[in-house]
Amino acid sequence: MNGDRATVRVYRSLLCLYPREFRDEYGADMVQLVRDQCGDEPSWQVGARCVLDLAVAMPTQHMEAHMNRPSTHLVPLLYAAVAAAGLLFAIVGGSNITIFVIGLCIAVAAGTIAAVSWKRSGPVGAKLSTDGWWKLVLAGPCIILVLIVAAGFGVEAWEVMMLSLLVAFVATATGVMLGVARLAHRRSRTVST
Amino acid sequence: MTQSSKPLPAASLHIVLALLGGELHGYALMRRVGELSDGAAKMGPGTLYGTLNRLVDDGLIIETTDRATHTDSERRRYYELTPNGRTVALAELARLQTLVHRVAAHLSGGAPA
Repeated sequence: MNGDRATVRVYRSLLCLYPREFRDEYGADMVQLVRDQCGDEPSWQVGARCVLDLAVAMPTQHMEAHMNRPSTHLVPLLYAAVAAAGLLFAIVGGSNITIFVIGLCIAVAAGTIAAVSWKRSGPVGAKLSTDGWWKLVLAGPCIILVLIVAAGFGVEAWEVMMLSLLVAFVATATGVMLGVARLAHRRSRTVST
Repeated sequence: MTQSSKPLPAASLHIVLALLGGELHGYALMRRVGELSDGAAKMGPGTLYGTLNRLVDDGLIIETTDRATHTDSERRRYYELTPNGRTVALAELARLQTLVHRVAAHLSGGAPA
């Protein structure tokens, strides 16, 4: 009897190796099944079969979960934000031809990737989490503020400054785009109801 | 949707054939598969529920929601064949019968007199 309980307990803890969706859906049933089996067969036999089964079924479930996972809309939005930031970067540093070219290259490359990934993942849907959009919007100005303060203290690491500026633009642009996506999603939900 | 012309994988085949007799819950299904195969087919919980999950997705079986009619003290999920699943299961059965008949005829015809 103790062996049965131990087998069930060990099996329950091993369930964490399965993908979460599968575990949530069938975990309780699987544990119940092992409990039923322990009532009819020696627990060591049930345990050995469960371990073998786990070794075979678990990779398959992970592969299926990976293949069935819906494509995320965050990727095209992120690339679009990078493209917008690159464009802004090019405009801000327009007087410096190097910065202008770098910004433009980033904008074109990220814009192309955004368009391709957008086509593959479709329009913005309910799966996209847009909850923290305002944090990203605020992150940009905060980073710029830190850069200004650092410049005030005489920090002159040009590359780090430029990189930080780009990160600030990307963060803000991502936040704005997520905010727009959230608004669009809310509006479409209102229309459908 | 699984095509009836395409043979089902072994685990799916055992499950749909076991469900031809009526709805069953997981453990009863596992036992039924064991009985039908004389203990040759033994599925673990992961294989069983993974296969059930695929068969539900393919529309060959459904979970029965009318649990109140069952006398089990614990909540269990029962599974039964859909009309399409029944068609596929019967087609698989016919395919296996044809195979057995052909092999038997071949062996009896080829055996020395």
